[in-house]
Amino acid sequence: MDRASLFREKWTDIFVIGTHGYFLGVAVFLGRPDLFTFGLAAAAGSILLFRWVKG
Amino acid sequence: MVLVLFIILLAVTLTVRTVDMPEPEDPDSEKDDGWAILHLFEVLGILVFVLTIYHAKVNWGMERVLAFFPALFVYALAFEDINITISEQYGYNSNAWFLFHVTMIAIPLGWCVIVYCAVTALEASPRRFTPVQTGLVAGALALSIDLGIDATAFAYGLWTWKDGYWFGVPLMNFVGWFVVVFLWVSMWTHLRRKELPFRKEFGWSFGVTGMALGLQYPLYGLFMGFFITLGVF
Repeated sequence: MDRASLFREKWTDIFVIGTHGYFLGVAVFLGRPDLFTFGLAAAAGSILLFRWVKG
Repeated sequence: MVLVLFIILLAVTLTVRTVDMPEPEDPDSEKDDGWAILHLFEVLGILVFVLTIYHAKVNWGMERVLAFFPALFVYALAFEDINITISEQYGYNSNAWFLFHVTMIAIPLGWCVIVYCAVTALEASPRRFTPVQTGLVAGALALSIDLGIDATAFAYGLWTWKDGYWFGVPLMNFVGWFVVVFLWVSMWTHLRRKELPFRKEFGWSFGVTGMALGLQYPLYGLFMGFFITLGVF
């Protein structure tokens, strides 16, 4: 799969993982392990939910 | 899998109040990092929106892009601006570079990206959903993204809430997220399946925005009444 096709096929995953990744980074920056742990659980849940919908 | 998710969220909900929460940053203050994360959020938000438009153009074609994004953007912007002004329960950081009245522009753009991702995920699904079911699942998908990011955004000072249960964010915010996405997506999906000519679809997409804005308060009130009756709030 070329880069353009990969972008089109995986856009939803890229966005969801990227968004959660950004905010997990912010939690690390703030020194808040509670937010990081919670954010990780929420990210996993979000990704699983999108995967389930896409089949 | 949904059950596992539910258990995770329930466990977090029950433990979240045991965490000692520091005060969030004052969004009107000076900050040592010059609000770097805020500005990065704004710039990335605009960049991601541009990439989304490109993706949608390839995926749907330009006509459908025009029948989706402008109406959704107006919906998100109007919703945010009206609610901030009327409710005075929350507000965006006044240090933001790109503001429209009291709304950070990256927010309605973010709405567009999140709703587009939910809609395209549903289109890729082998399951067949009615418009109402599509709205319900899209609401859940959008909520799943917001659950993770809202708490951290609040802690940094990207936006503020007056009072909140979930790491400083009130549960009514999440009810609101679900309701607004459910309303717009279910009506827009109904419209799309009618396969109208472009001009009609474009015009009616703004009709969807108007109807969703009008219906959000009664539906939100219904949800809140339900939760208050259950003793959740």
